[in-house]
Amino acid sequence: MSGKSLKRISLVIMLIMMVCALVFVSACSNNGGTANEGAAGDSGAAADDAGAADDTGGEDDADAADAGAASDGESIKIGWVLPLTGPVAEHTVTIDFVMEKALDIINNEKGGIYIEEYGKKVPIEIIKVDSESDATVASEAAEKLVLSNKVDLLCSSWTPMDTVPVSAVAERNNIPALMENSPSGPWLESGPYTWSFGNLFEIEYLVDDIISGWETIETNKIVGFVYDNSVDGVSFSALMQEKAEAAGYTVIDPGRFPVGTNDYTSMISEFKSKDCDIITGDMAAPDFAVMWRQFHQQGLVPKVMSLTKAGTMKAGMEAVGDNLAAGVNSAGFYHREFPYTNSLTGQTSTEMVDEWQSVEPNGDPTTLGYDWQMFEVIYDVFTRAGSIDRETVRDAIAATNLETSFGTVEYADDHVYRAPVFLNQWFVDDAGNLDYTIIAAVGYPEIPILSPLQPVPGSDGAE
Amino acid sequence: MDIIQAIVSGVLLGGLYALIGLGMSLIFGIMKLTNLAHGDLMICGTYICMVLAANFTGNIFLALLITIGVMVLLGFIIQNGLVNRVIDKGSGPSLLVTFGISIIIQNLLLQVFGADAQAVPNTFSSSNVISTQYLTISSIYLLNFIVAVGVIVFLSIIMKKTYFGMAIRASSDDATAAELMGVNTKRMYALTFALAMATAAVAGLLVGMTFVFYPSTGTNYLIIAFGVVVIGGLGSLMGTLVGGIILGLAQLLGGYFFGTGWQLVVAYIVLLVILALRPQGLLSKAVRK
Repeated sequence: MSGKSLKRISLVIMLIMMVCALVFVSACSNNGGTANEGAAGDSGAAADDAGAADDTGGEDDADAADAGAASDGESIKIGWVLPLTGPVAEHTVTIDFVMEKALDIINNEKGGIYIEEYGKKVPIEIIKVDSESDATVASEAAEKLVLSNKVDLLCSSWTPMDTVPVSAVAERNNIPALMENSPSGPWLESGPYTWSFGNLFEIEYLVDDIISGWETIETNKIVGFVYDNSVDGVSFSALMQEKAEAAGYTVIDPGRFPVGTNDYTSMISEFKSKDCDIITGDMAAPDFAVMWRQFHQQGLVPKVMSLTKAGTMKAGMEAVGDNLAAGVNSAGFYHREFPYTNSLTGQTSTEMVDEWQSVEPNGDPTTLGYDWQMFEVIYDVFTRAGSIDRETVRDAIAATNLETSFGTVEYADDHVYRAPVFLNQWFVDDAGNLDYTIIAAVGYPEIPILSPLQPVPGSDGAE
Repeated sequence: MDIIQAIVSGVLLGGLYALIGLGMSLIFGIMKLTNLAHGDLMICGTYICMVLAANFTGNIFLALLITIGVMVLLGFIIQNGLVNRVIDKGSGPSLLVTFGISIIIQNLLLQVFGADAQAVPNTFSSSNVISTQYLTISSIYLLNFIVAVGVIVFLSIIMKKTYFGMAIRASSDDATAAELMGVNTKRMYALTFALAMATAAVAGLLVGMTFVFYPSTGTNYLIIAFGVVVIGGLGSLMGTLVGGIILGLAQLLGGYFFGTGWQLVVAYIVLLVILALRPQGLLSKAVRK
């Protein structure tokens, strides 16, 4: 091999590595479940990804939900962009179950909704499109729903990666839109909104929940930070630092780390030498699984492990293995002990969770409240509007005041309904399965507190 | 004392990296083919192994043996049925074939297993061999290292001592001459790919036991494999071990001196420096054609 071709090979390798790095970075921002608006149309690699996935049929999968797909085209058309596949797909676990049941009630039991333009009751038709957990795909899909499918309402679920681009499309095309299950901060940063409304959670409440949880356990008040370099990680760490220091805690912050980090030795050494009793952070569930196992292996078991992103869904906690996730606390969104009643079915929270778990044994109820509430609001809004006129529908959404299975929905001036969020803690139930309880719910006095925070099993504080 | 922990973990982690890069190095060294699907094929092996262990065999080692069989067959089919058809037309078409395979595997895994992160349950990943106040050595890191060294030594012996190994090396050195001597080079290429997949199956299982995985993780490991191959030298088996250890050490020491956020950056800076000073890699002999 001559020196020249050797050089060429090394050039090719460097090129390939750069492409890989690009793909990797875009994949990372997906994993984190956090892309801001900038991610909607930037890196070439991300666009390639989306294009490639298109060919495998992802986007063309737009299929009308069976129940109530009107053949004569007379229906209320709702386009729904949500991550059915991809790194954050676990958050859409309950949507199909809820959608089928809600549409059955609205379209069959109630016979649809009276719409002036049609002069009769028409069914709701949902066109569900997979965003593949990718902001670019979400944006294109929403655009297509508006232009080709001529939907009357746009909906989107889970993470700013879906809700931000879909809201942007709604604003551009003057279409009313409803977002659910996403942190309010990143969504509001891309506002203000005229047509979009969000049933979202407030991260500040959660940070307050976490610190109030810490107060109930005896610790040395030294907190180690494990925030990754995603958008959430950067903004939440600043908020947490401010609040924790104000509450008298000492913060040990080794800095942001990249999503997908697989070895945490240097961090662990630092936390051990600084004697951290509490560890808190924001990271993707797969990264947490790797980190938490290394913590245990290298002999670092803090008294408290508080998270904000990982630790929400059961699937991510089970991936840690060996029930090591017991004792971890994080954001919770729904629980069978919630005091609310479903306005469509009349069920209590306990009945709703039982019904879901009879379909999916031991299924995760975390997203059940969000998903049901969307259909409750949609039914209420169109019933009051009695029309598919865009401005009438938008004004009807703004005027919403409805008691749902997920609290009383009322939109504030910034178009956000701040949905319930609480601090959960994972434990192993009698059958050996992971389950979560309610530790704190600052801002929602009606939610029952089921248990005080327990020290992590195996730490100094545990019996 | 913390630096000793970083060095020990770095070297052991390097063993796993070497094993990840091994298959890539084989294919690159012998066919001059950049296998962009290497990471995804490895993760595919991890999934197969996980399903077998959880549902059928119950024994992880039996599952691994079956997985190696399946992956060898898969590798043979990919090389014989797809890559061999275009390999004479330069490096471009065969590169695209592997890129296509990578996309297909990722999406297939997504369809079949969903996006949730998974782990291969095992007793090694939460236990330690040595556990003192100053130094801990995790069983799984040690196991990774031992297996990696074992596989690399075993493979070196095959390449040096057997007819199969000699035929493969002959096909690599001079395909025309090898063919004149009666070696079916395309068949050798297919067997090389199959052999590389066998090592990928082992690496896949270890990755699944050490970390968590989901359908798109393959890309992360492809980059690691690239790093290992480039540092160690294309096609050099011992080079992959050295490359893996250097990459692992650079990562952990980078983390030790600059914080966890910098550990991958430091690893790739080391990679670029080596590429600039010795583009053929540390242990490659840079054969002249």
